[in-house]
Amino acid sequence: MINDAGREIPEKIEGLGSVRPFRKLTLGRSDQKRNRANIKKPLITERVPRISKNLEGAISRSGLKNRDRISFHHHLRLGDSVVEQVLFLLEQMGYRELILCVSSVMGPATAAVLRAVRGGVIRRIETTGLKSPLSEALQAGEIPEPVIFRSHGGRARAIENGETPINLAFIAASEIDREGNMTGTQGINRFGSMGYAIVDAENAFYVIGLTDSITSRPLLHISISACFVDEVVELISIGSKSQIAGGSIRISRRPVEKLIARRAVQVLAAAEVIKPDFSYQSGSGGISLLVTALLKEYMMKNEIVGSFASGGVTGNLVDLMRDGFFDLLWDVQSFDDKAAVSLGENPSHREMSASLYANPENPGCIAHKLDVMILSATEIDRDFHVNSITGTNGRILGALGGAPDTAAGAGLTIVVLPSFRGRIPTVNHRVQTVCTPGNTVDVLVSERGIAVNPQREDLLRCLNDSGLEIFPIKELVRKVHNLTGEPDQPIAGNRIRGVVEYRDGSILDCIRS
Amino acid sequence: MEKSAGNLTKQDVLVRVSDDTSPLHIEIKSSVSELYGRAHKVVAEGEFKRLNVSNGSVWIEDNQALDFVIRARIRAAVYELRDSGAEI
Amino acid sequence: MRSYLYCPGNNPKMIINAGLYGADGLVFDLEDAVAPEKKQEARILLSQAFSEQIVPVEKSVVRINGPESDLWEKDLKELIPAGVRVIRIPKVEHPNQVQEISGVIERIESENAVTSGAVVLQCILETPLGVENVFLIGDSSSRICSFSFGAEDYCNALGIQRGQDLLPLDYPRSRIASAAAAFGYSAYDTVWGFLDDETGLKADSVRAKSLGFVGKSLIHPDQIDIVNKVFSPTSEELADARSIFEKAGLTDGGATAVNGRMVDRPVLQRAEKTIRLAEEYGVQVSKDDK
Repeated sequence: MINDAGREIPEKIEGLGSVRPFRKLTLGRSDQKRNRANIKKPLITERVPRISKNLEGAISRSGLKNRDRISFHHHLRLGDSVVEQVLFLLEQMGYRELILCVSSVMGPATAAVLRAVRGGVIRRIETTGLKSPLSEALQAGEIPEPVIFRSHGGRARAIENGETPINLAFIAASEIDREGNMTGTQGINRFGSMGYAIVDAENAFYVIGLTDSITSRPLLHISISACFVDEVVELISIGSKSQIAGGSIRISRRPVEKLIARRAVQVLAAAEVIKPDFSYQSGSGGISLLVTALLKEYMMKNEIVGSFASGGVTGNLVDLMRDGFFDLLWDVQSFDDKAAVSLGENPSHREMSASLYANPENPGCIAHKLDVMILSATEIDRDFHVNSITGTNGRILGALGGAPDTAAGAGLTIVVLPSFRGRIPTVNHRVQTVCTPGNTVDVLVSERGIAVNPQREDLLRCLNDSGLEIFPIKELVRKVHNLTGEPDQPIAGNRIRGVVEYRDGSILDCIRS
Repeated sequence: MEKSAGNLTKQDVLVRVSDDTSPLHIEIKSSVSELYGRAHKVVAEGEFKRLNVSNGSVWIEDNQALDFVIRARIRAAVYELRDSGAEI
Repeated sequence: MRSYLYCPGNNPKMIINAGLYGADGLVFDLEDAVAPEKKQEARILLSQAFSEQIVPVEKSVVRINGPESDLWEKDLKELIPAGVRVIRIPKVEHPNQVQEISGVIERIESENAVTSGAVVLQCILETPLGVENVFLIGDSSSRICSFSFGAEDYCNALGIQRGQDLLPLDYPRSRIASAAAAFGYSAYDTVWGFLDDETGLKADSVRAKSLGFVGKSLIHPDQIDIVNKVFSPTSEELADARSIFEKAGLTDGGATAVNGRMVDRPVLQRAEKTIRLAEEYGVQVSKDDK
């Protein structure tokens, strides 16, 4: 059957069972009250988290069986060595056919996951994204069951709802105290927010905290309380400090990117959304960061203070808050050391779980409070559907992230991208994979023109009045394709290798090869 | 004799043409051959035809160049050969 | 044209994007921006870009190789049939250089069914001899439409520094602007090479404007906004021009007084020009100017 994003979705998918196709709904909370996973914890007389150096013992005590679901977060990013260590041990211990439920797979974790898949340890992956060489393995059909791609909010929802019960959560923290309280804001390998891990901690049947730094001093900032931690294992190392911290993100100086960013701010100004107490989030791509920098200049000139900025938080955003441009920062993931330190020290810099951030069924959902969201993408089409996972040739090179959540929640969602990369057009007739449905995307800003979603008549009026040149999206597609030439369609496959699940659990699109 | 034009930087193309007597043979290597391989062939063959070139060996290494760049580099390589006295 | 953005002639990526940034004009360069062994492929690349309309042809200029090179004739033979109509000639020093080039263009026009005189010339004066000969050069061909000043080579020849001290360049600038005005040509100022010095760029542009230049050449898109602003009428100038125009219109010609100033024909003409330019560049009167 065809879902509301125009994509062919079968009623049953091998390995997953029957699935629900995406239906466009007006945004609102579901009528069902949040349904906490009804998992019975075992009765243990000794509830104080054990601290040991024996990971194998901890895993045995967890009751993990073959075909169960394990989880990791990716807050250690490119410096993570935990996933590798754990998967290797699970393989040695003889575990098979597990479901891997991660917030994302990147860096050293990728090779470890691939190895585990090939060794039969993992049969299914549930993630927001994955990278090479795992993406090639997916296309080649090496992963036994289709990969489920969820947004951050969708993952949180599925976990909290009990749809994806986690049997064993491995949660790395940069420092853990003797009670088992966990933090990411102190310790040599500090990484900041533990937003993705909080949901796992609160809902998993068994939680093993992993760290290379046990402290006897009280933690200054607790990300995950000991009441959620079943035991703690001390490893020699959880990762590589330099890779975790990453470089400080340099703001692009490229003229095309600056042009797009300037236009985006002009759209914001014309739409009159930059006003006192407005809320803002941008992605971490080069152009998105530039938009934030130019927005700052605009806010300075017009003396505007926003209520909050959110998302993945960089040092630049911390400066914005410190300099008084925003009252508050909501942090689900800290991208650099400056942000990690700030989270630990600054009451105006707050940690948010993936659920509070983006779960559509969470009453406090921050994404639903956003006035402005700046997104990037691999491509966008005439229906304003956005692809952030596959390239135009079908290869997987990205992730869903929180885009489907913030796009749905924000009052004004702007996609910024260059109209072609190399020769490959990004404004197309039909995207390869729908990741964020077009009914939640309002404006496209590229260096060759601005297009507004026709469903936003109010915006169209504002922007036309302001003198900005607005193109119908079809014309923009034509303009770009005239320059690049019409690309041939890559050969479509017919085996479903992955599904893109919308934040409400319905299926938005399938990835085939 | 072999002459070349262009280079491998992004959105450019390196065209090498040699004036041997074999019938025109064009080899194209590109990272976007899946999407533009067909277009590459059409554009390259079209330009050589327009230049009245029916013999020679051609190697085209593309780094996502637009059609006008491919045409320009082909013409430049052929002119270089002709300027050096090649029969092509 | 307030701003002319230079773009290297052998760089496909920059050629494709040159027209995006809001410069009034573009100069695609076959001279200093292209290495000697790449001159032919650059020439053909630009030719293709023009004939396939990859660039905005109506506001695009090509800087060909200099009169003392053996390349300019090939440049013209390739570019004019491809649609190039404005040619910028570097290092012009003698009127007969322009005459020779003009003659070759005449021939190429007729051989390619291009209207005679359709191709116009911008001359760059960038050496002391060029600056001294500017009046003779201006008189050498009816194809000339503007002069451009090039400070880098000029300063080198004089052994002076190009930089913060703008006074040493007053002489060549004035001479060029004066010659331009004498023949009814536009005068375009030299590039500012210190990309991180925006204050210097503004000062350099303001100085050039005050000496009679109507626009400036640029080497980076970041320079466009500053230069466009300097060479546009300000909203105060527009308000002033409007009030002169209105009040002068009420007399029967001849001199009149407006706002404590004598307004006669030249002043009126200048006011008309200001209003016209303001309209072209989208300058508006702001509320504080009334």
